[in-house]
Amino acid sequence: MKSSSDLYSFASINKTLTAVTIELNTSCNWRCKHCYIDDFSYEYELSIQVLDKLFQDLRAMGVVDILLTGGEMFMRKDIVDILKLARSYFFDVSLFTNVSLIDIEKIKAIKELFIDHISCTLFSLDECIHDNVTGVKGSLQKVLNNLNLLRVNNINVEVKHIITNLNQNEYEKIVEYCNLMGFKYRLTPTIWSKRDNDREPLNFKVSEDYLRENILKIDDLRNTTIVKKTDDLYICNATRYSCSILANGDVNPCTNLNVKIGNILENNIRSIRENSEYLNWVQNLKWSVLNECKTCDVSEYCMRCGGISLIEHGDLLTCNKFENTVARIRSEKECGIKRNVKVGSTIC
Amino acid sequence: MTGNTRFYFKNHLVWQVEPVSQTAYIMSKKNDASYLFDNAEKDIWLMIYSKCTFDEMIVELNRKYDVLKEQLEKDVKAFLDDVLKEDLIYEIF
Repeated sequence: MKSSSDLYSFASINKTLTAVTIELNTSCNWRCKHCYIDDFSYEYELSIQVLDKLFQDLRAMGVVDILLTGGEMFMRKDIVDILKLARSYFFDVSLFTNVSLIDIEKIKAIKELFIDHISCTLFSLDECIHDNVTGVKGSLQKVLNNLNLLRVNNINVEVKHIITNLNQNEYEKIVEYCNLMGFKYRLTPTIWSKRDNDREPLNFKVSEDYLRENILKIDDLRNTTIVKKTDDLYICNATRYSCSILANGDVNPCTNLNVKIGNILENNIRSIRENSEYLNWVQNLKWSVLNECKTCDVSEYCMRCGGISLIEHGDLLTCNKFENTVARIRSEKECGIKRNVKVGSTIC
Repeated sequence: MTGNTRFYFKNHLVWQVEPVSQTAYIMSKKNDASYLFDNAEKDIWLMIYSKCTFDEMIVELNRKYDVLKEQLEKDVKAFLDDVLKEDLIYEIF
């Protein structure tokens, strides 16, 4: 390794686990209409003892980045102790939270612990729209108040804007707000079914007409980079260096790939990753196995994700219809996306 | 810095040893800077993690590397001074 930027390319080549997403709990104070959590009545959470053992294992495996998520992690009374524990292992820790439950004491702890950044979702700056998505009256005001506190305390914030048909005309105002506040802005029109395959969230996807009108702007805001497809391209590269651990202990190969390969309450994470035939299979899948994609006339514009294909169509290797639609629109518009095409070894 | 001095990592660090290359990767969240340590530097870094004193580091490194003890002490002190200056560690006498 010659520079720190080599870390992830090294990890991909060597299949070194480097980044892990850990779902601390499933309980949440919001009920977002597009959320993939299928049942909030099961309130799973990983105990601090389990997390300590997990952190020890991850440390020994070479993990650098930990993304903690939920549910809503700040519903846990021991959340600051968990953050302290994670940082005591010198991980680079980021938080994905709706920020509605943080307060000045928690912000102080976040700052003192050198948490890398907080990532949150903002659906609109209009209270009616935002609160309609979250299902909680007053949720926007709480978020804005706490985002202001985070800014005052110089904590890095990334605002994620999930575009659904409930808030599809809001992105320009949110971009302006983020620029004003010094926050990073990310957006995505991608939503998927619930974990139990209930397709209800898909009702909130933006329409094809909307994409046709807006995809160039969205691609520009996302700084979209589409990798040139070659036969030796890994199609699920993220599974080579990352994984996702759910609040019930289940281990998935990737945040988007909802396939259980083991459970940390029954086995340690190293053993799960080393002995999973499914993980080994998916890690080594290359572009050459995607028969539909190889003959598709818009594949050069496509950002397919195997995990989403599996959720939406039951087959990791099949065409993802939503991404195909987006790719076709890009292709029809002969958009400037071609300028961003790069040769790479990975898709995701 | 004396023979009994121990060193501790600052709480703003992120660090890990890359398992294949065995390079120690250190990132300062306070100064937004990163560092890579190999070979003897990495050994010293891991001995800091193990809470070795300066003298214990010298004994251990003397076993591993064919270098005169005086030179070793000078080199180790220089490295520790550098990382102290970079605010990556602090010392307790």
